[in-house]
Amino acid sequence: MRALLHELFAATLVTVSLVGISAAMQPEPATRGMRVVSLTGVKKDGVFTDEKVDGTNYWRRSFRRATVVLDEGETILLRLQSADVTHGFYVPELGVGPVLIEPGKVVELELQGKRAGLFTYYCTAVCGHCHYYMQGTIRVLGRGRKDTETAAAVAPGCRHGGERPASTPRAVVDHGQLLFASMGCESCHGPRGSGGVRNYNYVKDVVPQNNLLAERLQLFEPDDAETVLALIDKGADLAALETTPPFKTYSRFLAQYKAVQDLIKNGNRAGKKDPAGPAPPLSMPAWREQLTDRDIESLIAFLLAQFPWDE
Amino acid sequence: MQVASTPKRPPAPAPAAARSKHPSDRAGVDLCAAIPGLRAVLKWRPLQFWLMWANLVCFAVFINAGLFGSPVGSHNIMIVFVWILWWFLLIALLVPFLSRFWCTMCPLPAFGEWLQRLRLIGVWPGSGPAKHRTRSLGLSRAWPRALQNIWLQNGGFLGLAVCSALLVTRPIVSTVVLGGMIVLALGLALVYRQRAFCMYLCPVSGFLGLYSMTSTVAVRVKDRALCRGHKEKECLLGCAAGYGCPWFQYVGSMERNNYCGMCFECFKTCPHDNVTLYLRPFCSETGIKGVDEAFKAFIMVALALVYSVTLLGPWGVVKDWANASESGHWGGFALYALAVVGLCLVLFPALHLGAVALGRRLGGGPAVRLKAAFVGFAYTWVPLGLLAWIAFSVPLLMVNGAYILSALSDPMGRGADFFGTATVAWHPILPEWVPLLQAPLLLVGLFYALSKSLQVSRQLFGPPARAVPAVLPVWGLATAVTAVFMFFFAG
Repeated sequence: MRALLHELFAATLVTVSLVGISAAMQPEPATRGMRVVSLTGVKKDGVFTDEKVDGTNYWRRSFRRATVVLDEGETILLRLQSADVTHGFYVPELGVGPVLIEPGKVVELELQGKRAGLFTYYCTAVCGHCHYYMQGTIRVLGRGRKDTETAAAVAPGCRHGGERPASTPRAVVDHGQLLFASMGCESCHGPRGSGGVRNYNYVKDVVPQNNLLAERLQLFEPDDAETVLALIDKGADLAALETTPPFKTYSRFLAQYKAVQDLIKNGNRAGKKDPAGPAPPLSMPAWREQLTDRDIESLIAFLLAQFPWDE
Repeated sequence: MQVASTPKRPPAPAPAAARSKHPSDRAGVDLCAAIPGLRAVLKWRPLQFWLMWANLVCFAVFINAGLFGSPVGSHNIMIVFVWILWWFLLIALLVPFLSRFWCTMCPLPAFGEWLQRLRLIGVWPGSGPAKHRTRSLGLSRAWPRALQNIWLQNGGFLGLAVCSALLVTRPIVSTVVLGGMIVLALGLALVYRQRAFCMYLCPVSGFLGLYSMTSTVAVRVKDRALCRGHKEKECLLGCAAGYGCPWFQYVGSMERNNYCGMCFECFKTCPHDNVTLYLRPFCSETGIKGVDEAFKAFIMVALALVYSVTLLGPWGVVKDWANASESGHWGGFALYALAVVGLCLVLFPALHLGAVALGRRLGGGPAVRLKAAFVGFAYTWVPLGLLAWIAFSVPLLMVNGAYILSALSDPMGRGADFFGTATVAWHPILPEWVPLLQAPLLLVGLFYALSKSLQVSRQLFGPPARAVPAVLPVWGLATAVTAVFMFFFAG
């Protein structure tokens, strides 16, 4: 009888410990009396998501970009976590952040819907190939309004490792097109460099479009642009051509071309419109460690090929 | 339900010293005689249950953290505790000093064994003939004869090692592998007798067995003559006080630690208290038996080299290949896997074979079969491999040890802080000491490799005039391999 009791005790102990541990490891965090919105940064998809991310799903699926919706005047508790690497979180228009979110830590921020409108949140720590896509929308609804609209995508989804874009007659342009998508350039400069992405408190309000690069490079004729593209495609050293420069404005073109190369290599901090305001969330990063000279030439070639000559 | 009762013990025989010319034919100190109360602890039936239960609780925490915690390995207790702390304790302390004591408390076969016995603590006594002194649930089949070796363990360990970049960085992968092993152990326990999973399949068990030959403790009998004369063989067949050896070992003639899982059932079943725990010098056993065990020795040394290249070397491209699921270099991974398997199963054994064949020629020993020399000299790689693994594991603990504190307070990596250590920032612990520790460890390994291989050579080739030339090529190879390790560790 005593042995039986021992066995029963042991079996109960094992069951209770296993069940108890499983239950205890799913804690409900405090809410401070506010509505809680949990966002998790996911490097591989370039998103902050409101979906649950854990070991069972992280590696096998993609996560949707979260749109945070709150009422004007409402204050919510943002609970920010990282599923992988250090991310940043910044909503300049609402005066939230920037804060760093380290993996394994939970950062809690109060977010107040000060005024109705659409606001953009950004990741401010370069977190991987998809970092430049890591933006999302905060929708503050005016009083009495319901959330019926679908938020416009602030940045397209990260296409790193996705399908190759359609090929063009020039290999160098194809390579530039691939880089423009895979390095996340389009997340700020828009599809095919069409620009228009808002950059809060930036002197020009929006990130410059760069499909008009041909103009900046003093290439005013399609033939001139075509000549330059052919030279880049051949891998020619544009600063040391053996023959006569191919068009009249070539020296001015060369100076601008060098300036654009330097800008891509070394980056540029976005200037503030209101010097007392927050730093613009988007700045041109320095690519000299990620891109070779040939990569940068390819990007310039791709952007030159985007100029709308027909218009 | 039948309840186990203590059998009436036969009268104690005359002491061993009175019947044997040699008072003890075991080298070493009888710990049960030296430490009061140790025998009582080892004979205490609930001992193994409590040890297993404690580890099962830890395991449940790890499994939950792996499933529902952060996918970031360095912030998940599954990775930090299993692959940093447990691994270090296992390879650096448990195996060299306590043999297979891990197997005593391993939670992986717990459910299988408990179900097989329909008991967690006690004994399920049988009522039939001698072979059925204890009962068990399930089919109780014999493990297939063709698989009664450690080739499956070799293959399993090699397979896990090839995928180790995944295993040791992704909590969910570790969870699936360890959880899968529990399920496999449970299933096998219901089909095959005793600890078939531990004996023939568990990838950890394979190298624990090999390296436990070096251990400073061993379960042995005090007097073999007593066992020979005792016909009941409770240690093998079980009795009301305990089960027959779940590892199919007969302690009465056991010479090696390899397959003793230290469950201490033989302590409980022996009516004469003839089984004891000996303290003995490091590397007391030198007999490798079988090509499967020899290959285990090669695999372990080669994998220590592979990890040194992959994790400690300066070649980023190798890391990318090894971690293809992150880098996407699947072609590179195939090449990496091929290289690892080729090194372990072809190149390293071929080098060993070449050295042994040359030594056999130098030792003038056609009388010594090449296979016997090949297997015998494989022991060279046991102390060297163990010390290389310990040297490799030192930086694991010293460089990543800070994660242990943060994972202790925040096992899921979800922002908890149970013990106030969650915010301890990562920092290496005395990293400048790492090579200063690794180099002596390797040299200790080399010393034992050289001295023990000479011992093996003398057993094979006889007098020093033949044994020394015969061992020279193996010494050369061992020294070269140590130099390669030294290059990665301290170079």
